[in-house]
Amino acid sequence: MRKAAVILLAAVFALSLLADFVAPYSYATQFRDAPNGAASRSHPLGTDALGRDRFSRLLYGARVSLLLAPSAALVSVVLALVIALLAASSGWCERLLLAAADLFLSLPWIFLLLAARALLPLNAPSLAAALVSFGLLGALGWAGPSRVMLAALKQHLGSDFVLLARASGCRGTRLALVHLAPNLIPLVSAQFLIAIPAYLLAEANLGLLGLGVPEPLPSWGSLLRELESVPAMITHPWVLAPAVILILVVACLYWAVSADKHNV
Amino acid sequence: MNAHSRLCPRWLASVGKRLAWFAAVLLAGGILGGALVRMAPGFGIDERVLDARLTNNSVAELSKVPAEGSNLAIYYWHYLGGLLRGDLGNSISLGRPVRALLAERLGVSLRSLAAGLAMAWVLAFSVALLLEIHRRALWDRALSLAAGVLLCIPAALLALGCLQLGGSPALALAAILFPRFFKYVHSLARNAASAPHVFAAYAFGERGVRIAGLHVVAPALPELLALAGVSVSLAVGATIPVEALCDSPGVGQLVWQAALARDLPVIVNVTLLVTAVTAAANLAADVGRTLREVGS
Amino acid sequence: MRSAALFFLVALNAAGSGPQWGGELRFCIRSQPRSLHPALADSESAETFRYLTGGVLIRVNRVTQEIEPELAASWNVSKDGRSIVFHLRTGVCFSDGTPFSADDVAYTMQVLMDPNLHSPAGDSFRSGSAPIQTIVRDKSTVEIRFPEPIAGALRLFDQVAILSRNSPLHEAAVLGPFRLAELKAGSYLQLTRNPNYWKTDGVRRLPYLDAVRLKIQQNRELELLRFERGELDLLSGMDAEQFARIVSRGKAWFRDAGPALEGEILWFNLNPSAPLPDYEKRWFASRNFRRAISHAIRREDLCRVIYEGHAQAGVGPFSAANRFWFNQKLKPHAFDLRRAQELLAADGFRKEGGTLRDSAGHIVEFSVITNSGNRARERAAAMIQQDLAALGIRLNVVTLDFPALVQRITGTFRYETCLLGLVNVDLDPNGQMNVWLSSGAHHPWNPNQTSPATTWEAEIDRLMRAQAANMDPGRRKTLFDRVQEIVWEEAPVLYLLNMNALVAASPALHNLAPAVLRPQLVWNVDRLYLEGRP
Repeated sequence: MRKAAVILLAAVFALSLLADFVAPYSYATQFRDAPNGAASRSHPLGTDALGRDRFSRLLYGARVSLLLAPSAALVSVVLALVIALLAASSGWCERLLLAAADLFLSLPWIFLLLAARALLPLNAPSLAAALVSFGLLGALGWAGPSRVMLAALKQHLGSDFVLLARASGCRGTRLALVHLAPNLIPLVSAQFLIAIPAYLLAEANLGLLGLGVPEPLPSWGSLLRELESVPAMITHPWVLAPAVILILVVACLYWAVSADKHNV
Repeated sequence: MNAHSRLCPRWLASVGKRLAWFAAVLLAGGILGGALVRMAPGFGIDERVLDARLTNNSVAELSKVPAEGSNLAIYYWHYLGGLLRGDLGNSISLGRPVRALLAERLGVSLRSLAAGLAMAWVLAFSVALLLEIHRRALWDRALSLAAGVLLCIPAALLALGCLQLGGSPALALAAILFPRFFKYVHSLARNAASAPHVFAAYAFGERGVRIAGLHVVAPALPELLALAGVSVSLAVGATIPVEALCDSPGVGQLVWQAALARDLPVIVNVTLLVTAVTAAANLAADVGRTLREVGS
Repeated sequence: MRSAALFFLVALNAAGSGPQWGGELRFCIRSQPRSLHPALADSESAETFRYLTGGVLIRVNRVTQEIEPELAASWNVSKDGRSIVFHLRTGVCFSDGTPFSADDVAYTMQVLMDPNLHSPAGDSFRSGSAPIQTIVRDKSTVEIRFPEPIAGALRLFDQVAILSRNSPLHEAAVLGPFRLAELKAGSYLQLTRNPNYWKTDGVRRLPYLDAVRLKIQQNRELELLRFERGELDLLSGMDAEQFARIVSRGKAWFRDAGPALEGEILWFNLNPSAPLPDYEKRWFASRNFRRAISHAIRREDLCRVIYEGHAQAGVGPFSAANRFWFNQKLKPHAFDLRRAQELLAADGFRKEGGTLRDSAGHIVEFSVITNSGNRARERAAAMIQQDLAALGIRLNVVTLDFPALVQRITGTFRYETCLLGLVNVDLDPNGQMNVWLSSGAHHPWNPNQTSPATTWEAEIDRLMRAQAANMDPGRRKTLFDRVQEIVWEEAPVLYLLNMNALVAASPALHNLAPAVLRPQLVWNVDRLYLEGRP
């Protein structure tokens, strides 16, 4: 099962990287004589409202989303690990971390994203704008994983091998890096994999606020916006393709994680 | 005797400390929420300035930065004073007391929240239990898969789908929360059920329901309580987008509109509320964990 | 024999030959009105509420666009345009039974002109610094005196709902066909018939309907869904996709009522103090550059692809829907790439390897800001992006949420071009005084100028002031036609298109007379009736 998931993920990733060769058209080319076109030989997944080839947009969109979501996930998980290790160092730090995590989970961060976007120059490249949004999202997303990691760390701190290490004079940074961090790797990788789909989905919602990936660059989030009008789904089932791929990728990521857990 | 008298004040001190932290987090949440709105682009902008009928005088008047935004610290100080008297301030964009706005919408939100939570919990709980009682691998696979797929669908899409099918916001909430709860409850039940004493109970010929009740649910109870706390905070977080998407006249919709209008007083109040719920839920989870550790 | 005739009459009535009484009309408004005070109506939903509940002295017929008597049975406008005398109907009562008289009109004007209220309807009356005087001649005669003549002032009374001076209910006492019964925050406004409404069908007091429920629904998809389920009776302002869906279902009554006043426009930031590089300011300040952009945009494609043909290429500030004021001589800027290239070449722009550069060698790249969440507008931006690429221009589309956008176009001026919708409430150009005067706060491309920045803006200022002071409609039309021509020639604003008014209604709803002016379907609400609904 896990193998299948990994193969599928790899295939989607490879296709998106090879979009320049695989995609029949550019993601921005508008075939204005065929807007909302049905699936055909020239457009395997039909065309969108502006006559752009949906298959090509899906491939290029995958490139954007599959590049940005894991980077954001990486940022948040690394940040979470560092903060959790810091918090585990003393009771006072721990209390501060827990309070900060509560705050981070409840503050209206959307305003910070809006402010960051406003600071960008108007003619900033599309990808840069998207990178800033995702980077911020990643930086803000440490609170959840950090709590989980801290709980695991505390368990490890009480375990025999740490006691042994301490007894043999191992302290501070060395203890954290040599004894604690390696034991956290399975947990960290699981958190990382869980975070990727969360960011894939977050991007879809950001698009609605004008904070997503700007036109004409496609992303899975912007492709999902086509689903706002449901009847289109019934008469044009191929508009569902981006959603199906997204769900499939997210599902594969989850499978990879759960398989990981069983191995641990 | 001696130990007991020493324990009591310590216990009290610990509770006091936790409460003090809780209050500090709340206060910080309020002012940080306010600061975020204040620095957002478009703060103090009244959309009405685009009305071409208005004269230059009126436009200039409407373009003035609201008093709340000129000095956040002073505003917050006054706000806290008002809060003690039960006055939550006035909404900038709607020109009405925030307390009245929240009061008229809280009922709707609480109802969807309660119904959504209840549905998700009951479903997650009963499905997980049924799976433990009957222990059919195929069913287990199928239901885990279904929950997994639900988990992979964007929450906004789930909400829209529920609406299209004629469902209420509560149903959408349940659809969003169910797979998350199910995952926890299922693994919890699985762990509890694989404990040695459960095998022993089977060996002694006890029946499924009795085992589930006595040996699976009961030991997992503290964990479940902790989960209940977290689930409330999870549900509160999901309510805002669901209500905004479904046009349900609850607090979520109000918050969404307030965010779009940069309505500082409304956002500060709601941030306080959400911070309180999150902090309380996490506190409950911590207490549950501590209880379990003490118990074991 | 007589009883047989009576039987037939009854049977005919039962078969639905005449209007039916009773029933509840249900439709959606976009948002909960910020205030229900009629003088403060500032959004489409607040204006719809005011239209359904408020009584006015005169009404602009939404189909014929002519002025018709309402609470004022007749009126005289003085020759110099400084005063209007209204002769009011007698025997009219507010919804709570308080009698209506000239005092109420005077009180309404007093409230409306309160300088601290900032009423949009009140502000449209302000011309000079001196206040408007209201003189009550007798119980049914009232004179309104303006400090300066305002052409077209009479039409403005269409937006003035009369308040009661004496009613204990204050603004909740109304003269319109319905009154507010219940407001459920964020959910709906329930209106019931005004028992004292002055209009009759000859025998009984109108309206035919017993109640109107205004559901507050922002999501257009949900609105359509509810309409299809029969929970709503009418839809207006639909987009092309929704309209196509209604047409394909074939169950509801629907109509494309033709081009409305609403449109999409794109303007250049010509503000000299804007934080933009000087060479960019020079591009935008050049008429050739602006016209070249306009000629490179395929307006026909915008109408066809995004609006599925339910839109017309834009010409100027008024669409053909405004029968009197639209300048018939003007045609949309035609798509003409060669002409665009010639205009650019005349300014020293040249294309190098697919990229346009100005005479100093700067790459021509600029952004268009627009509000996020409006699908049609975002698509239009993407199409213009591709159109301009043919000239070698790189256009970046920046979507911002609304307050952030408004801050840029009215406060910081940190933008290059802006794509936005155009809303016209008033048919008369006097309603756009603050848009056209260079000193106006709504002068989109360069507001609040102390003195006109260009000669053509000075000329527009002169023409607008001249038409406002003139009482002869023909002469005013000539003056405003010239304004439209200057705007067409100078192109500080590119008028892209005007959307058609797309409406649909339940087949049970009768007496519909769709208009392109708002409120498109319910403007004759007192005569609408529902068949087969108790």
